[in-house]
Amino acid sequence: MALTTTTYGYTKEHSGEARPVSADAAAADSGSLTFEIKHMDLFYGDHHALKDVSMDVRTHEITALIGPSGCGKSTFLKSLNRMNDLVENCRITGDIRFEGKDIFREVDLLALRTRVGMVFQQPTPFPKSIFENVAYGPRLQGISNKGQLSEIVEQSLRQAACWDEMKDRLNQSALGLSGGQQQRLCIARTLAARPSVILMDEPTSALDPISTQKIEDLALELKEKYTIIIVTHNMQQAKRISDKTAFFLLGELIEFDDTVKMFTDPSNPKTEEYITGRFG
Amino acid sequence: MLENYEKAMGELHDRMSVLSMKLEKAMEDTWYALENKDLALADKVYRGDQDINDLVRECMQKDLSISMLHDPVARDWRYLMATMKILSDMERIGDHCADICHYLIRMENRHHNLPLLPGLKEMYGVMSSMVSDVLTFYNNQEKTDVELMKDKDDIVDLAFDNLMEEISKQIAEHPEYARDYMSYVLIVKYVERMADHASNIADCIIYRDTSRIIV
Repeated sequence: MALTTTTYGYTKEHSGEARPVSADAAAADSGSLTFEIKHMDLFYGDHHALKDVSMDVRTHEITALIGPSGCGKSTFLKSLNRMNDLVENCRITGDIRFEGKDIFREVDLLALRTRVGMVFQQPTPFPKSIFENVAYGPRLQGISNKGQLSEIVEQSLRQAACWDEMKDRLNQSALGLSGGQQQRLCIARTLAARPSVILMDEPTSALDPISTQKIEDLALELKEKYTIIIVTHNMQQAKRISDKTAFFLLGELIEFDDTVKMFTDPSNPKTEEYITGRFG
Repeated sequence: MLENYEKAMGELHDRMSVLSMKLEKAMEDTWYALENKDLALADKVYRGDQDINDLVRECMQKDLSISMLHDPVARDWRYLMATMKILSDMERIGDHCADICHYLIRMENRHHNLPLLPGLKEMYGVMSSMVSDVLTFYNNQEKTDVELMKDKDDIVDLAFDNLMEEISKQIAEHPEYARDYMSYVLIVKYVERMADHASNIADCIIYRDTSRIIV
């Protein structure tokens, strides 16, 4: 199935062809792009998991990826910092460009993973102190000066809105934090590596409503400095925080458009059926 | 969950159909009372406005509770938003039927037996067909004929201007009936406003169907 349009804002018709849908799309394209994905296919062995996906991710925006379980949204997310390289028999074709460069041929893998950080569904603090969790990335990057590390830790915790809660317990184990605090600590740890993009794979699905609210508020603050791509099963969350939404189904990108447009007037009947809960 | 949602949407749609029927009946009775100076019927329409208001309130509550409990999106959300706005316009149309009947009763209680204003019947007929059309478009989920509604609204506006001229002439010729003609001014104005509400409903239907906002 070939896509005929690439920037952002398209839907696949029943025929499988795509057409532009957003009137604002052309104007919006004048801004910078963090990712440009063109005709991307992903295979796990013989299984065709992502089919001819084309999408542009704009800088300093939050892009939400939605779709039923198994539709390929997490697979797509993980492709952006080559996490799928670790999966046996995984093969990707097509073009994925990060800040204009081919992530497979022109970007060093370590540099890519440094610039494109990731936050997972379950908080994954290391069994170390809060300080050491945040300082872990900078240490790997060769920073050993205590003063410099302290500065990075404080700045990262502040950016992740957890400095006030954690400043007096920096040497305590991160495992003693609540789930919500652990998740924000993981975001701080990601920020400490100085990324420009944060990938979030259902970051609030294991959290209570108040912790979820804090992460959402944080995401909205962080988009001033970072580009965020978030996988979520929570339609309300996608509506609340994202600028653009991409709907995946059975490995295909069905529709990609402004979030407001997508949730008030989707162009594709499949999108309408999914977001109204009539299937999936 | 989805079953409850569909059921609630179905119930709202059914109640909106009942409200539409009541409103069309009120408009039909209003004209009959006006044309035939049937004060008993006018009184019935006047008192019956409370039933319409109660039904409007019930539909608004249903609409709000679906919006709150089921977090609708896309076409459903536009339907609920449009319905909420349409309910306000329907309630006002019901009010205007009651208002017309109220002034008819006051006018007839002065026993001057004035003839029906020439052109009022045609004006009321066009307005009435506008309301009937938009309620049909709404209830049958049909697209609004925008141009037709605009043309009809223009006819009603023109009729309003002509009737104001006629009333001014009548007051000048028969100043002893000035109070009756003042009641006619209000009645004609209510008819013109009812056509405006029909136009508003058409705009809401366009939003429901296309997400285009018309102001």
